Amino acid sequence: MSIPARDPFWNQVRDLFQAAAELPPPARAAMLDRDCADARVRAEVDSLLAAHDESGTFLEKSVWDFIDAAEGDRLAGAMIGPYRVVRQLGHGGMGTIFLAIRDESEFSQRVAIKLVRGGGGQSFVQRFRQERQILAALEHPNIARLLDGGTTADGLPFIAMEYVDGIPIDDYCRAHALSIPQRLRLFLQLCDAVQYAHRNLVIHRDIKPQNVLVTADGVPKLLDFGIAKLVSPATRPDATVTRMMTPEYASPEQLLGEAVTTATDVYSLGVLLFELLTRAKPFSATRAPRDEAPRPSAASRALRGDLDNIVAAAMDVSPARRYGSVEQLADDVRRHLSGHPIAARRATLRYRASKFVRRNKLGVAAAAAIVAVTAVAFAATLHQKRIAERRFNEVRSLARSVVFEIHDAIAPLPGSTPARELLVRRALVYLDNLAAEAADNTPLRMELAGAYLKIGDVQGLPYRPNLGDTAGALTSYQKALAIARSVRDEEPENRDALSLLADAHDRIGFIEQRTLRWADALRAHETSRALRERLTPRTARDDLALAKTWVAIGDDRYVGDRRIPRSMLQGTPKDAYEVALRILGRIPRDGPHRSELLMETGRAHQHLGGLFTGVAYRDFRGALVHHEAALRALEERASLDPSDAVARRNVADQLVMRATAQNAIRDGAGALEGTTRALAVMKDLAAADPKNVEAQHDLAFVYEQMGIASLHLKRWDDAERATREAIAIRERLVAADAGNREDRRGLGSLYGVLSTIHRKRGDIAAADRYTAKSKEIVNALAH
Amino acid sequence: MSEVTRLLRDWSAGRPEARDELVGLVYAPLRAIAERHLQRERGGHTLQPTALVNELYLRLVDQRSVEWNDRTHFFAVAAQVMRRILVDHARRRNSDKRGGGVVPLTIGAALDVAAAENFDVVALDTALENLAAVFPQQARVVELRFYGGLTIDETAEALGISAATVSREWTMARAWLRREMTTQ
Repeated sequence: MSIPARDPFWNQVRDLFQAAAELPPPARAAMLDRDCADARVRAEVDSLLAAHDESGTFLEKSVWDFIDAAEGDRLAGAMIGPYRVVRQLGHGGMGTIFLAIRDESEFSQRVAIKLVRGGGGQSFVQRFRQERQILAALEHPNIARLLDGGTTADGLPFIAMEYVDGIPIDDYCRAHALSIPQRLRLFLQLCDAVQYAHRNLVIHRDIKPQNVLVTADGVPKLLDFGIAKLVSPATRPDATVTRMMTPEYASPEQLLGEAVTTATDVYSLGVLLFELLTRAKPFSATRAPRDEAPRPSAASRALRGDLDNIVAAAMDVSPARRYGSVEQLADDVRRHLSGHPIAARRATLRYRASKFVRRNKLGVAAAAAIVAVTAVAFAATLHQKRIAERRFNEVRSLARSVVFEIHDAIAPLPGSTPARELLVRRALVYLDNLAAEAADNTPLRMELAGAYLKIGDVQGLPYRPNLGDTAGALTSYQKALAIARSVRDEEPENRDALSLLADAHDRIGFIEQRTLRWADALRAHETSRALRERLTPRTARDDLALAKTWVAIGDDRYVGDRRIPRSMLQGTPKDAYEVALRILGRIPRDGPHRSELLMETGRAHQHLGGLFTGVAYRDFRGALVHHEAALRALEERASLDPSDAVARRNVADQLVMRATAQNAIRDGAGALEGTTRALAVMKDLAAADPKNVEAQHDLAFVYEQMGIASLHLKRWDDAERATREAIAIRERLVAADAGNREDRRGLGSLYGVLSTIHRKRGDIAAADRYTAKSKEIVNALAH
Repeated sequence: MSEVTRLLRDWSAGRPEARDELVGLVYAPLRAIAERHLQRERGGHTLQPTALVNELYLRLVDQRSVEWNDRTHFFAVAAQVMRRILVDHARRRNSDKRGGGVVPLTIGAALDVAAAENFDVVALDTALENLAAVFPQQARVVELRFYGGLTIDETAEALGISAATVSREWTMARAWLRREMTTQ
């Protein structure tokens, strides 16, 4: 047959054929009668349609399917190790799977045998021996057990696994027309299995629907845990890339051949969740590693909101910004199912809000120091014998990847806080794993509790450099509390456990303060005080800690005044601060705790100063006496170590505190002088660590008092400029952390100041507008 | 920069002749890899086209100097190469029935499976050439699907057209080839 190339005749044939082929056969003739005038074209289309109707499965199998079929046929009835092959079940990325039976005993056991491609004979057997204990020990209702492994007669590696009679999870959802909540509950069972494996320090590395079979009873079972690694040890990055990933489900770091951590499984779970929700894959096999995943709502608008955010948080290109653990992912899915707000949304907001900040050098040193400290702590933990015996290598490789990831994150980004956040997220995964290990090891448990406190501090301990994640901090503190409490219950006289317990209560109290739950804060601090008072005799360190707790109690009584039931108050705030100062007076001034002693003395005076400024006393001259005393103590402390940024910050902060008293007695000049000195320091510190929320609080505070000082000096423009700076900062803080009521309240009073400035200038309309704005914020707070 | 890398970039830059050169260059290594996989590890393993092509790609292409989407071009080349390997095997078997040594066992077995299903690999090759003369895009789709083992979506991505278009072209190509192969 001679074929005219690319001519209009064939184009017509193609267009008509393709239109007709999409119609049901009976409807085709009418369409062609109408649209096709040329008899030659019509004959050709009809002929092709006839071929189309009888084409059946023609070309449905590719060359590759023929090759596979040839192999499967060859093996039926053959022996693989002690197992007899019944039939081929299918094939996955790593090899062909057979149903086989072991029939040497009276009962025959059905197993799934995976013949491994590219496993490399002897070296596979060696790796298998190393890993089998760990893998075989994974006993979970949603994980298919590993049973056996070895090589076939002709040297091909095989793995025998529990046979799961089920269908892939995506097919299951489709076949049973599961609703979204039903799918999510199935997914949660899967998360539970992965979480369990992570606690046992096994990473799956190849989570995908084909590896999740659902039985007829609706039980999902995860296949092939740890097999990807067994099959392809990550000796070289490129070997990793070719062998163990399924491109559609692999994490960006897998595609790039980088280190694999638990975050990799989180990512793949995200892909799986996407697929369960939308019935489509987010990526094709030819995707690029750093492709951003589409949002599930792109497929169905009903998925907008939480589910979008959950998938996005699981599939973030950067492992550091993903959920820190499978548990966190599962928690969000659970929260969504029960109608509670999810965590992923907040994290995203915080991330966006934090984008404005810049970076600098001081932070590098700080972050590097934290990395070093944590690395040492991990190393110490890792040397625990039990873990060393069983899983040292896994933990070590994970820890190594963490340290390198962090190192890499720090190198190009000089601000310390992003690096710290990365550290926190990574560290939490390890801690959770180790916590499960540590059940009978008291020193390790104490270490863990201490580490949780540290992590909580980085997440959100008020008045210290932190990431503004109050909820995260609270969770960490509660974990520390639970561990310390269980140690205390077993060993009631363990002094370390008692003070650790008190530390945890103290910090929880600080978080309650920041969220303005004063009664809860007071309860926490009183509990801590009672614990600390039981420590007798007390060392200088114990006394210092007790004094700190008393200052905290003073703060609760003072600031929380009207929100605390009378019955809970066992004294005035003034009493509490004075008890603290008395205890501090007992501690030798030249001892090893000199710096901390000066610090606490400064704080007690500072807070007394604040108290005298407040409505209860209105004794501004008395307040100034304490503020001066505080400033002396803090300046002495800062002089001990000129490189101590926190000490400098506290001097600056005290200058602002003094300014509040000076402003109260209308000493605008004194207040302006102090705040100007303070501002230079605060700006420095905020620039050094731009993501440090506390530094932003400080800046807002300086600008606020500066504005008031300028107001007293009738320098309206200066006053407005400073006040607006303070407002801008607090607006950002509120946008980033909606739970933070303190900055909201600050915002309310700042608009009050702005209103006064405009009123003094004579711009009454603007003044009224700002008064209304101030009232609106304050009223919203009352709800 | 390797020859293959350079040709891929040329092709991406709009020089279609580069593709033919690529096929020539890639033929030997792909065949070597396929045979190594098939012979050394025969028995129960599955040949995954994407994994195999990946391996080849990683080996031949300097990834730092090509765009990621050159990888999809590479898939197209690999599919064409697979077509040649297969047809070469089939032709050799036809001309030398005793055939053993040269032909990798599994490709031979695959041809047997195809034959058992009344599928003539050489006839398809000829029919595909005729199709390419009229509808080059349809021929490319068949090549990627049948020889490359790509799904509809992957094919769409490799050709830079929509999955719906691939699906329509595939339907028509199947009808065309079916008709041509049964009337021959």
